[in-house]
Amino acid sequence: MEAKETLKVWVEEHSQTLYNFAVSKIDDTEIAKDLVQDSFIAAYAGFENYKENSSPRTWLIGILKHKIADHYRSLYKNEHISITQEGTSAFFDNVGMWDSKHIPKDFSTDVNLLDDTEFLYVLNACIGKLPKKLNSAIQLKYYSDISSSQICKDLSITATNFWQMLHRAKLRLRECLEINWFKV
Amino acid sequence: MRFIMSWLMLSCNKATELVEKKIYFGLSISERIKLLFHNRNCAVCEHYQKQSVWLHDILKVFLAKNGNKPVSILPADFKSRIIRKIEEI
Repeated sequence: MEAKETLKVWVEEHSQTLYNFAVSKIDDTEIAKDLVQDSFIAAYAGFENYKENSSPRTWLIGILKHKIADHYRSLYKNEHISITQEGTSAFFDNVGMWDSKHIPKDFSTDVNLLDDTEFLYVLNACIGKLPKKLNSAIQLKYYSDISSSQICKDLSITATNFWQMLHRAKLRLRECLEINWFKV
Repeated sequence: MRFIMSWLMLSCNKATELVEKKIYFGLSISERIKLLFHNRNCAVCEHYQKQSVWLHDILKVFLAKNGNKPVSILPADFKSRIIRKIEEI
């Protein structure tokens, strides 16, 4: 079948599936829509790489995954970090001791919380509240099982740079959960 | 002795950085010793470590899965817009 005709059928059949996948990885629905559209266009451009015997859905999702990773990579690279807002200075004093307002309290670390929809709601909100660069660091690390060193290679950054970013992100996530879930 | 102590001493900022380095990249032997020594003397950073490993496990499952977001239906003209784009190429 001709590429254009095939693509039209695929758009009809798989748009919703691709969109569901995209919004599960990206909060902004407009960006999710753009990425779905870009994926179909990329599928058309690279149609000769499609193997007849594989499922179009799997192939399209594969393309979409690349688009999502590209999106977070460019977010990570283009967001400039503001040290006051996104650094660690709010959490530690100038000799690196915990700031009294930010000292982590002990809370129960139970993986069964993953079954609690209310907890997941709070977790999702806390991830969404992270500054963009820190959010994209977390998304890049966890949305698929790429190794940390591969992520650094793709971003051309050093390992130190990346774990420091994850440190800043997790200081905030941890505190957000402590305040909004464990304290309530 | 003073030399050893100053080599061993980590600030909490550094110690919690090493917690993250340990999770994502692994630590050298000297970093492992320093972190162990710090956390043995600092209950707060020990909590941090426990919580950070937990958070790592939680995020692995939560973000790799589809999350728990309600999914909205695509607007009616979405598909026709894409088809038009493809027609134009």
